[in-house]
Amino acid sequence: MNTRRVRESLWAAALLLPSLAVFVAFFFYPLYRLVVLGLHQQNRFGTTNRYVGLSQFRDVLTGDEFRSGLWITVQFVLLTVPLGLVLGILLAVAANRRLRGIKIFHTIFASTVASSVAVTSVIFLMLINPQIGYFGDVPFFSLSNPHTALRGVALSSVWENLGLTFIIVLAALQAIPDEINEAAVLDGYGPLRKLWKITLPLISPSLMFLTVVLVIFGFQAFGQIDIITGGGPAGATQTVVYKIFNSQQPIAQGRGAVMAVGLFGVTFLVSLAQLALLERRVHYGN
Amino acid sequence: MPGSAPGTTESDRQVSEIIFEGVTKRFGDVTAVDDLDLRVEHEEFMVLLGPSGCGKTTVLRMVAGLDSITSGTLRIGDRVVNDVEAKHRNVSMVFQSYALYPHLSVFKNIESPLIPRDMTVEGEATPRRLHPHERAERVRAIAETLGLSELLQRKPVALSGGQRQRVALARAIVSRPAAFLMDEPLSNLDAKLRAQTRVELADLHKRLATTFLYVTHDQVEAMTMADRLAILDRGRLQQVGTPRDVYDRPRNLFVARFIGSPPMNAVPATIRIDLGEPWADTGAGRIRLPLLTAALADGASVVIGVRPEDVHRDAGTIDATVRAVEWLGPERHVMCDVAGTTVTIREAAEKRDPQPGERITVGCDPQHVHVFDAQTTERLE
Repeated sequence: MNTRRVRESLWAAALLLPSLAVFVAFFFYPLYRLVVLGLHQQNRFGTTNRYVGLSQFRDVLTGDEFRSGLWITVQFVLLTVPLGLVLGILLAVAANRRLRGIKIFHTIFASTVASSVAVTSVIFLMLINPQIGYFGDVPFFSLSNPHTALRGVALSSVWENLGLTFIIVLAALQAIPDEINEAAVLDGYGPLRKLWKITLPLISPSLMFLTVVLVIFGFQAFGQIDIITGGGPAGATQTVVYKIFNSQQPIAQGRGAVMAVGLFGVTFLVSLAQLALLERRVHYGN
Repeated sequence: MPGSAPGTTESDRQVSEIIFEGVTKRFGDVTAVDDLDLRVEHEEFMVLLGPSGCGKTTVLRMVAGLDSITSGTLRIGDRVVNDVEAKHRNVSMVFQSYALYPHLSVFKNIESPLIPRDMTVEGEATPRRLHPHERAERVRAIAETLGLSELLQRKPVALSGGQRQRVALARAIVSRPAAFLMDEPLSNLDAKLRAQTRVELADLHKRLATTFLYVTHDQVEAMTMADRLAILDRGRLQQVGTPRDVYDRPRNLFVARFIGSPPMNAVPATIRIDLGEPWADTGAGRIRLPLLTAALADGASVVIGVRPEDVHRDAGTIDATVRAVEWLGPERHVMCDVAGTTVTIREAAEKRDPQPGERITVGCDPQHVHVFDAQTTERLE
């Protein structure tokens, strides 16, 4: 290796150092502490810290609590991601036209981006609360029924994320040159065929990004669950994150840490799998 | 098979004049096309020519059905198409940017207009959807004619500009439309490729024997390919005619100056009738006009126009001062000042070199003088 390349490598390392420091301080070190915490067991007062090794990982990750939490989380993801994507695409397609006053609709559709989970969840709770909500007695997403409560939370989550999906899909649609759309019209494509054969493939990079991000949002969802159902009824909406949150008393800290590491692992693997599967079907234009 | 497209038969042919009757297009307060009357004949290569913003692309888009018509009537063949959807007009278009589908292979790009519509099949009375193998056959035949056979599996991103342009042409041709619309299809090619493609397009027009409506701002393209030109300015049709007509007898000063490079010289002058013969007095000498007509009255203000190649040095009656000389190999452009107006002389390079600042006389054959009304800018004859 000549001296110039050595010098360039050193420069590169020096320039990467600040972001590496941030990652180490706020990601890698906490993750390491989490793993260490998972290898220990505390008593109910938090005064002892006994090393138990990987047995706690095995017990927790194969135990009913984590598995039921994971199953609820997966259901939550399956309820929120496809519906959120489809609604976002439909809204963006509908709003992607040159009409007088269309900007007002753009603002309305994108508005949930600017409101916090707490705000949207409280609004939604008011709408579907079994006692006072206007839609409180709709059986399909009734919050008082353990079989349907997750749907109510999922709806709130879909609404919460709709603004983001709408903005990203609309931006992708607007990046498609007019002439491509016009060529499709002249080629005889109807609206549905054009959407399926031309539009969706051309915005596929944005759709892949949204899928990965929305799945991660689903795995991490907490605020809406805490506010709307508090994990109930009968634990029916206790996702993994909610169970981690519930493990705050000293005796449960080790178990909570293991679940957190487990959730990280699941999210990481699912994201990798999505990238591997979707990447092949995504077209990055010229 | 001379005189017909690859794979087409006589029965495929359709009458395909494009007729504009008082067609107007407004965008809000802006009139893009104003009361256009124009008839593009069956199998004609008509070029719409004009500067940027003259409305030529809007005319093309109205024919394609991409822009609606504010008023007037547009016919393709024997039917009024004002309210006919774009996909039912049976025309195809080559866009300036080619508008290829970037995610589809060359094969699928060319195939795409064949999929959603019914096509005429040789030996069958009614049009129908083609089977995939029939589509593939047609795509291969077109690809063969345009030299794209080796590229069918590639994506547009892996093609050169010229190849993309040919794919766009193939996609336009494959559905055998009644008319081809082309919006500056050569403007993204380099000069050499453009010259070559001009010849190919003219040849393609002969082979397809279909109506071409071609938009450009490039007069070389227009003059070399067109059967007839339609020249537009600020939304209004200025003149329609063969390239020769338009060059030799421009109907107004705009056409006179727009066609020809370098542009026609235009010198303000006053008409003098002297012993029954018309002269134009430029202030730096006078010049004989072709014929006395009723339009030329003594004292009338006119603009006289002479093509640079028709102006001769040292043989005239008008005083001029040489300002600059441009040497272009076989020819030379001499810019000189005539009573405050710049006049360009285009002459063979072997003549003696004039020097800037030199005082010369210029003149021309009366037969080559065009006279325009100073107010209306219309041609006077």
